[in-house]
Amino acid sequence: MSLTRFSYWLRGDRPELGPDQRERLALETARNRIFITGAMFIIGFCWITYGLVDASILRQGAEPALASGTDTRELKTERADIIDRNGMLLATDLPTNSLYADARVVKDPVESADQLLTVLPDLDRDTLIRHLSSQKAFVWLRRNLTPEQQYEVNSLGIPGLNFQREERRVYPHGRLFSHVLGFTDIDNNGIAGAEREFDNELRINNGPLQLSLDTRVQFALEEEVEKAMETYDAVGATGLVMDVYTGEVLGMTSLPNFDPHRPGQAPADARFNRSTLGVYEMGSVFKLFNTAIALETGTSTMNSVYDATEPLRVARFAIRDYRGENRWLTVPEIIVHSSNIGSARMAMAFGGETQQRYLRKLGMLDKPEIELPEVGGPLVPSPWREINTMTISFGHGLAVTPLQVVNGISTVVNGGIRRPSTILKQDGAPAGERVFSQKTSDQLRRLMRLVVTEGSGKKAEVAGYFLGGKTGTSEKLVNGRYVKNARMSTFVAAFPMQDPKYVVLVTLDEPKGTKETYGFATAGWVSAPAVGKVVTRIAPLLGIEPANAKAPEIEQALHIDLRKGERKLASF
Amino acid sequence: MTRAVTIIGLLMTILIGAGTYWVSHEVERLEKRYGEIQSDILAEQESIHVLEAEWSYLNNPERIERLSKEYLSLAQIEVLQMASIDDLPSDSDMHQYRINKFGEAVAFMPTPRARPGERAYAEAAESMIIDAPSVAETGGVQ
Repeated sequence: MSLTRFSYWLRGDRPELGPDQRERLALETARNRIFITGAMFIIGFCWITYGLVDASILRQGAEPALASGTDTRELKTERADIIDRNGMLLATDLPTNSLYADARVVKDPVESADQLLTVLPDLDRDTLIRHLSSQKAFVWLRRNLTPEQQYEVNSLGIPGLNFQREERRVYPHGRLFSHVLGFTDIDNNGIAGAEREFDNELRINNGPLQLSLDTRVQFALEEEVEKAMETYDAVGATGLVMDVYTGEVLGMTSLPNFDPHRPGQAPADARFNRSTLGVYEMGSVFKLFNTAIALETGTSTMNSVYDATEPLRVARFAIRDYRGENRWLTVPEIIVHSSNIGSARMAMAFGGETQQRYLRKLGMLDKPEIELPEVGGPLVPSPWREINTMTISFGHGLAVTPLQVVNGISTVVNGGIRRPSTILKQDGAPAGERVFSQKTSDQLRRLMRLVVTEGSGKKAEVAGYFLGGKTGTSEKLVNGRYVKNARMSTFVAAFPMQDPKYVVLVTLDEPKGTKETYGFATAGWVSAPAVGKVVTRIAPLLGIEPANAKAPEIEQALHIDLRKGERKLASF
Repeated sequence: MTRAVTIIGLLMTILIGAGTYWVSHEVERLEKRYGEIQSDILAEQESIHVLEAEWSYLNNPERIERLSKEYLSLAQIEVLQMASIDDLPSDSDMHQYRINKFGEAVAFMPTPRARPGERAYAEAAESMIIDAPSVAETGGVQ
């Protein structure tokens, strides 16, 4: 087929036909082509129309009323906030600017350094010159400038200096929560306390982390503990407040504390969390656990009597009473007079194995469970001899953290159910493990109340709140020897005793007696009043109504006959 | 006929073209504005964040205590200052309530029971409630 023929074919022309036919054919071809083209356009327009109708009329119902942007940005800080149980901000990230230099661009290092020193006088001149002349592309000069400093540095107009936007961890309450929250390093990595424990969660940043602590309680606790520490010239102090039903820690303080913004400047002693990391022999506070075990196992009843007439001699040891009654004592009297001899005799009745079993259930023989990296394991005697059983009955020979004691006392008074301690806010009471029966718990409540009304804890009494507690004074072990005048004075209390809600503990490390205490530095004189003051301040905050001291139902609930045994003894 | 169709077609083309252009321009403008609002929101969120931190700082109990000591003559509430309505005796004696000018029953200063020789004191207390008659006197049921 030649090109000419192809061209004819393409036009739909046929040269072999006559001119008339050719004309008709041409018209027909043209008409057909127009028709086909028109049909194509019609199809196309119909298609578009369909799409238009579909998009604008038919699909409307299914479309969301409000367009949702795909690029909705939300402020996400590097680390999540930490808030207290009432939503008060405890730790947050704030944007700051840090100064760095591109040393390759810096023209005159010495001149620049001198100019910079007029604004940031605390920088070291030699280091600055070295950095500026290092020819490196990136050298930090100063992290976290204040906006004012940034403005001043900027207005110097030194070439090669730039700002890097950063975030800095800020603790609005400063020292108040230093041990619980911990701190972060300059690159915002959590390296102590809750900051470290929840480092990953805080980085993922799914909303703020809510702790169980209460800023108001924490402040009242810290202030009173600090006052007591200053008054009695103690080297350190600890305060704890726990909800007995949930195991939530509402306040936790360890003194001396530190500024979490500058942890490096604080001595190691200040960064040491005495509440969870420090293990101490808690002294007579343990008599409560001892009595609870005895009452629970049935080896003692409230009316059992024990011989405390003379010191108990075991091997080369002699167990004495601090202020001996030198007579037979009932269980309530052993608690009220804090008799070591009586407690040891009670412990002998149920034996070391039972003691270990119950102490383990109370969590005294394992590391305390709390969401903090700074936890100290207890110092447990090994092997557990008879003498250990006897001394542990009154709190010597087993060193535990104050947190464990508070948790143990919560278990004792809340009806006997142990729940792990936590610094996270809980929804209701978590599942617990029963250690003591309700009856034992009830009896212990009365005994604890008795210590405050009759015994060594009188100075803690706060009218209306029915405090119950136990003092504990132990001599400190230094290089394996007990030092007579270095004491740990602890008072642990629960309130209100007819229906305990909270446990408060105050421990003073090496308190010294004052004129007001007649030189005594025992727990009843130094720690008990502090606990009383803490309770006066926190009870209204926690919504605990003071009850009428003469309310017959409370009197009945807490009644205990101290002298019953004595009468029995008379007819012995 | 053909001319009319052509003109209508032409007009529609211009209309649709202009409309499409306008819509696309508008979308572009709105998107830009959306972006601006987004970054404004972010800036606002950031300042809220900073203000929250400041709020927490200003709420520091130590500071509140200091301010309260400086500007208020309030002290720690004593346990004895707290009472509930249940603590009041149900057979309230006429001296224990009075109606204030707003018609509310308020606790009146409890008058000690008259002891011999203290008659004058009781009378003085009585005189204090004359302008505001007590619940019992007005026969009001409270």
